[in-house]
Amino acid sequence: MTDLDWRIEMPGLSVTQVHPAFLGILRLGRPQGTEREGYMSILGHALPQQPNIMVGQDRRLFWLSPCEWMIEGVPPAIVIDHVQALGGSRHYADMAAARTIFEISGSVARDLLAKGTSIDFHPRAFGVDHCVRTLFVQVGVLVARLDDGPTFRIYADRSYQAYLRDWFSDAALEFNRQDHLTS
Amino acid sequence: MNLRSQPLRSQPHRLPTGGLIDRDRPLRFTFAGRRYTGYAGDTLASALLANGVRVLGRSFKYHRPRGLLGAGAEEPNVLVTVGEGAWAVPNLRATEVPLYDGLVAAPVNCWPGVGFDIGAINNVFSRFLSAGFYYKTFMWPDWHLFEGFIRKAAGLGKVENLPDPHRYETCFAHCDVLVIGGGPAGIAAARAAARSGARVLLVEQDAVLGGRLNHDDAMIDGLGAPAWIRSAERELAQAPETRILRNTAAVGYFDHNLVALLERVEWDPARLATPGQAACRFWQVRAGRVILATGAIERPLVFGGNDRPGVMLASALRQYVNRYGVAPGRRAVIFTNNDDAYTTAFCLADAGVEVAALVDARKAPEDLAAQLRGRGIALHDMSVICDTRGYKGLKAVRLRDASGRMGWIDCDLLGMSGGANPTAHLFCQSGGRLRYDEEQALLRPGPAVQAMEVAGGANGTLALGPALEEAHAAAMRALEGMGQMPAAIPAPRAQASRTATITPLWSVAGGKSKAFVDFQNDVTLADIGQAHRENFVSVEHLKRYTTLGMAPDQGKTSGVNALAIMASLSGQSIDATGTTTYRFPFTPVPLGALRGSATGPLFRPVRRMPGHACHAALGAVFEEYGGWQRPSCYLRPGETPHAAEQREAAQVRRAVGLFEGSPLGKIEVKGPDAARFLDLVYANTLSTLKVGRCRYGLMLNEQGVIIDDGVAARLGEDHFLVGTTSAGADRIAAWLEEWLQCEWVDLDVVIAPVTAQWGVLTLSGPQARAVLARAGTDIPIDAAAFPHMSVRDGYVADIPARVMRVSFTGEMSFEINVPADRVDALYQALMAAGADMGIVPVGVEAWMILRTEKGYLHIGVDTDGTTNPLDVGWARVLGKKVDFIGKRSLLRPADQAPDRLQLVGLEAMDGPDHLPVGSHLRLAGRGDGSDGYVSSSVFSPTLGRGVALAMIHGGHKRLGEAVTILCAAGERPARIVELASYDPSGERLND
Repeated sequence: MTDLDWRIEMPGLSVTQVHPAFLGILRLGRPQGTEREGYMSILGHALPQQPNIMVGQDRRLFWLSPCEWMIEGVPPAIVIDHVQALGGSRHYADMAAARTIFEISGSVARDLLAKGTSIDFHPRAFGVDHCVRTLFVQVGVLVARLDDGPTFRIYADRSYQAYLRDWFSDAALEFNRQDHLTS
Repeated sequence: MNLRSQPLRSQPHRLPTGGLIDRDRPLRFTFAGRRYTGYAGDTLASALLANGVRVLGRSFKYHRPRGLLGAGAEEPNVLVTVGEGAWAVPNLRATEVPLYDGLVAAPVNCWPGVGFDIGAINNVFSRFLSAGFYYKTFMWPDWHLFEGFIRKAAGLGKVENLPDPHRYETCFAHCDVLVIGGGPAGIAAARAAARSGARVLLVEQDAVLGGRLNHDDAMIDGLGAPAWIRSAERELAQAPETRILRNTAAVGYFDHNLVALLERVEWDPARLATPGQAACRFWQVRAGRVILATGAIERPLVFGGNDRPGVMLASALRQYVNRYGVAPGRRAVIFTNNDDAYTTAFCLADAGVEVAALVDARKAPEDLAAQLRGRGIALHDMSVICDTRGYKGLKAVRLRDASGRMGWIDCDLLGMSGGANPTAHLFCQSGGRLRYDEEQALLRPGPAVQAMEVAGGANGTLALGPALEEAHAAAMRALEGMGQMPAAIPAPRAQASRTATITPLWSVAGGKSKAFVDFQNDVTLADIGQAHRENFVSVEHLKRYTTLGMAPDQGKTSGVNALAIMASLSGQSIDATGTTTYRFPFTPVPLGALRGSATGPLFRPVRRMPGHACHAALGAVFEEYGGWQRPSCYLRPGETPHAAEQREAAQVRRAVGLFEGSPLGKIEVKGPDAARFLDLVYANTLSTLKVGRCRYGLMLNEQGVIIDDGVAARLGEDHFLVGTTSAGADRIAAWLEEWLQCEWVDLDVVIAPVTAQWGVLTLSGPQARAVLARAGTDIPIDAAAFPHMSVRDGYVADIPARVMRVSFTGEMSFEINVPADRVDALYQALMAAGADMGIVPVGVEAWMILRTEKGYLHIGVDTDGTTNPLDVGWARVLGKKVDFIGKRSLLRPADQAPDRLQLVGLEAMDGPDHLPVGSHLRLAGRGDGSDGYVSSSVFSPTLGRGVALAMIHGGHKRLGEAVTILCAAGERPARIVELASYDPSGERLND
């Protein structure tokens, strides 16, 4: 579990596991009036309203579903205090220990992702700051695109760490060859 | 065998020049144990033909000697096994296997060999093996008398009984325009789409692009065919959003333009052995628009002896001559009903093959007749071939002219052409229907039902020029359909050609030899006639009765002929006769390609608990429970799993055990209506729970059936933590969400599943409190301050923790929840703290022993999809005032019937051995049938005897009654007892 020194490096592909320092899920049962904008002061951004959109750089806010956002990079106490002060059907769940992140970048990053999920990651279909919840090799994950490198991040339940590491190691084998796919 | 050391053999049928083969790269290969040589660029089929090997297989039913009929995916006769041992792949069409050095292939469906095959006896007894003979063997008195023999004889090829060493990949792809088929039409469409910047995927099942241009030269845009293909390939390769997949067959067309592709990546076992080298890649492509440019397949003619080795499709002959530089025979006859086969006659003559005659069933077109005369080829028009001769190879064909005169023509090769038919299999898979085109005598696609265009031969547009224009226009329409602006470019232009004509000729009567319609399943003209006489009216019935079109090739060469023959027998039109259903896959797909990498450890995701490494270090035996890898027990040296489970369970009663329960579902429920909401979803009442306390509850579905159980804790007035079973964590979270979103939208509550955030380590046993104290905690843990069924937040071993006093063992237990990444540290701290108090790690099996001793039910083990709370002794839920899910169902008489299966304890009366789980049992006085079954049973190390739980009809009222347990070994006496065999009053819980 603590073994986070796992990575794959080969020409055109890098897969690195990242441990999220701060990560949680904010749920608002009945957001009132301008409540969503009110989070600007503590999160640095308003909560995105558009589906499958991520905002922010150091502190990232991901739209997960209506009234549900994943927040990365913000110490949980800050959000919990804010939510508790408002009371009611508002909840912030610290999920830092529940999730692990695989960061995938390089020229064949999209080809690798295409082996695990049916989502289209072409820049026209899935640009920077897009995120999507989907099945990735039978595991429910959140995939986000960080930059045009391209760099993608897969947020997965930590219990699947060993399985996903095995899958990535196996799936990347073909890219270590001279004659691999090019997109 | 070392093939590379063999001298090169001559290739007697190889033409001195020509073909897209590399004569500087000879390749050695073996077929049926004999060694041959071919060239790079050959297929196994063309290389065998170059070596003059004519009998390449035996037919499916009659085991007749067969040679090549075609040159591509349509080949019905020559199925081969390629490779040896575990690498062997059966039932490949030799026309689709590219030659590689050292290739080893063998024919299928013959024994001992292709030359002499025992099964050929079937041909002698063929009058007993007519259409539907299989069904006719189902006779009284023994319906299965013949089945075994027939099953043994049936089937093609053999799969090795070894693990498949091939590597298979699967992947997804997306594009704006998917062009299926890389012939002239496909290239034209792909180029037009690519120029406008669309995302284009062009797939071609052959190793090279060009389709028929590889064997029929043409001038396009002023370039010869090879130059035009090269320039188009260059352009497509440079288009940034375009990808070409060669050796890739589109095999399936599903809803919403999902197309499945099978890419044959590598054949050579020498290269397949390198890590990461896939043999096949299975693609699932989601396309904005599909352009079908799959061309057309030539139809055989149906006449006596049309299956002898040497009788081939006329267009295939051109492929062997022009593409592979092979003379398929020495002396040829051409038999046709259309203009296209004349090209074959010219091609053969130009290559130096003697063409003895061209037989045209029609009046020959004058211009073509003149060209034949110019080459000195005899023309017999208004004539047919009605029979052939030659067992292991064609020797002569029998001509019948318009006046009925007969005569034999000696030849070793017959090129036949019954016209071409659009390759519309994928079109039909997409949901489209075919229509009969009288003028061209072919079935062509009707209106498209998905976002698709059909172009070229696939659409019945057989001439090159119109096909190119049609494909170009199809690409333009496809782009416009997606709202993209097509680039203004002209369509490629081909030299104009004469208009081809055809007169249908569906069958020729009068031959003595069998006239085959379906070569792969050995269905003859006579079989169709018989089916018609036996009143099989529907084309789908004809298919199943005769097995026509049911072979792996799905009737690629036989389908249209069969329909036309049936139509003429029944007097219906071809349209009215209809077509059979074409299904996935267009060509056979290895099962491995469908599974991809999902095998062995990657078969499906298995979850690991946060403390996995701790358990592994302690000798845990991992097993899968509800998708999680969990320790079933911890083996000490020399210990059996049973002994370990017994030791662990006993130690919990005696001292203390440490158990990881992290997978237990944890769902936070927050909001002003949280208590009201939980009253609705639990069968018991949660709103009366005090903050800081816990309560066990049952959840039911609308039918009143128990779907989950667990402990809920009240963290605040409007804040609960709902515990679920490990397997129920995701399911129950979704269940709660559904009720909130669909039924009780007025409730102001949020649901937050937090299962994975928290690791759970449970200390259980009389020493549990002492161990917890030693580990260090700021929570007051004496019995008065922290009673059973309560929850406290604090620190344990300096780790922030939420501790619950709940128990599944019947012993005093502290369930310590910490952030999942702190489980390691807590585990070490607790084991160290308990070292001198006898602490042991406890696996799931010991946990099951302990809960069975206590009579605690296990959802899904003791209960099933019919069990309601009354059945497990929860009659009190009927008294609950407020409504809850399943309440109304519990009020039905059937739910309260006294003879329902009810959960009780069971004690064996004949000794300490535990009863087998699953055994049925009978009450006194019953001689047959069952009154219930043993649902849980373990040997209790503490009591020194077996303890069991059982579901028994009316069991609650039968306490103390004797039952008979029906075991595999015989009957055993037992007695119905209370659920809890150990500490029934629960004193140990409240210490």
